[in-house]
Amino acid sequence: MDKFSVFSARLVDKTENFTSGHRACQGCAEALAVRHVMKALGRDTIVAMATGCMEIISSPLPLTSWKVPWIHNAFENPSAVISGVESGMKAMMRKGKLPYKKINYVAMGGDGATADIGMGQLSGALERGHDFLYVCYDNEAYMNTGIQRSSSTPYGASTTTSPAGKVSIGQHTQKKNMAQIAVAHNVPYVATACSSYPFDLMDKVKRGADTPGAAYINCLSVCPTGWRIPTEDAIKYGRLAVDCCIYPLYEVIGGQYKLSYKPYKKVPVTEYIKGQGRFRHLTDSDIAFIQGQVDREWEKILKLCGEGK
Amino acid sequence: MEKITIIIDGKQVEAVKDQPVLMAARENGIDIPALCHHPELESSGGSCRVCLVEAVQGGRSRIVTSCNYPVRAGLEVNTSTDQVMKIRKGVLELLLCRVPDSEVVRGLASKYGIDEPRFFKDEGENNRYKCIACSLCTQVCEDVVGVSAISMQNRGVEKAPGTPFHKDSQACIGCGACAYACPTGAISMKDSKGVRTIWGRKFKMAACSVCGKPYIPQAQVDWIVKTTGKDRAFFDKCPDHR
Repeated sequence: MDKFSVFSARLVDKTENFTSGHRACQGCAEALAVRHVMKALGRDTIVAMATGCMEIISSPLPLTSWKVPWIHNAFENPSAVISGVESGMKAMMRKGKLPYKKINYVAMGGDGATADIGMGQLSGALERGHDFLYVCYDNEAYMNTGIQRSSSTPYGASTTTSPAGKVSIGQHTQKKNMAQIAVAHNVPYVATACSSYPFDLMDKVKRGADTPGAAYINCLSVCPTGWRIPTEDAIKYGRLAVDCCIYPLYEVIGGQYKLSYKPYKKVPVTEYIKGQGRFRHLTDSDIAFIQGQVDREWEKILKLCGEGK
Repeated sequence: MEKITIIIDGKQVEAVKDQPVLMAARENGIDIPALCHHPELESSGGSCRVCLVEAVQGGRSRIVTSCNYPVRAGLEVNTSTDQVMKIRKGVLELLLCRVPDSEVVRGLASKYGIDEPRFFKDEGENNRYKCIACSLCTQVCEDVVGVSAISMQNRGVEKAPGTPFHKDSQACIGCGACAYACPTGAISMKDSKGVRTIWGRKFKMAACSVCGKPYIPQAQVDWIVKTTGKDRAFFDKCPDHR
């Protein structure tokens, strides 16, 4: 859908199920991602959302940004709750207490709720094969509570609990690859998306929601506050992350890999890293090390998608 | 914006006067299938006949297309009576005969329990690809883009969109809005090596000055500059590098 650039954007649904007036930071690309996801899902949707930025900013009592049934969960259990909702609705429809209708069951969480705290429940729900979609808004740290590291924080990023200094490089472990973990569950649909590619994101959400069985989407959501970048550059950094292949966009439909976007010219990771405050302490040799890792991962993905050498 | 109350499937709903019944129903969570209707195109609708419903007004009931039937006071709509379902199934079966290759029509038909049509299947030479002749593409071209490069041609079963005399249209700007709007995916658009092929014509794509990626047809840039007066330098860079 990205190739239909100019006029087609005017044909996207204009109803908002995640309305404006919420309290996200200036330039928040995660709120943008939620808005696009909700646009793609439409009104017949039940959302269970884990604690995190999006829950805090969108539902301060007595206000709410949500126009669909929305359940607030603790960090660990959106996938468990949506499993129950899905099973309950299925039973009610079977017994004739509710008219039969196609409803999108969606669980959402940040990277902390998905990769760290809710990992077990998510794994369980994916394995049980409930008909639901899990969307992880990956902003690469616990941004809501003040930028603490999560297992999704990339190597070398400085956060308040992995500060860079004389001895430490910042985060010293690698980013957990949640999409690959979901693929390992053999679910029918897994995809990676990015808030800077809204049409691609909407397409993937629609496909994920239409797939019978569990679907998982990992959405890289740029966080200007936590990444220490100017607020107006949030979209630019999302695109850079994809262009320098640090975050490849692909889909896995029934085990078949498909690359959604191949950068026309691969950008060196320096472009992505140099403007971000969380990476400013990295030396040239550190960046060269990261570049090597990115190249290796990218080759792996290309090979899986059947586009490798 | 006069709000009135109408009844859809026995449920009282609020709707704006003169709004299509289809939109009022969808806003209230009552799903009516439709192929040829697009909410952003006012003139669209009325040709695929999938959205047929029963409208009761003033004690008189009739079957109407909900996508262009206006909401008026005292209207009562039934979306899933036996009669409506029978007609809708018939329409879908006929559509499936016409475009057996379309995944969208096939999916919709199977929802209503039709997997194979009973009638002759339009195949081979007569196969008009996946086109159901709904004319959404020509409406987009005229109303949204404003170039009117394609139009509906011929009558009856041969009706299909196309450029004049099936020659390369000089008016077409290669934007691909028609391919996007098409509900059944009938219009093919291919990008390869800086050339976009659509409606049999090849368009040279303008490349981004930073990354070198060809991202927009040159003809589309010319058209936008001509109609909006936007600075041409804006299109030197692709959206990734602006």
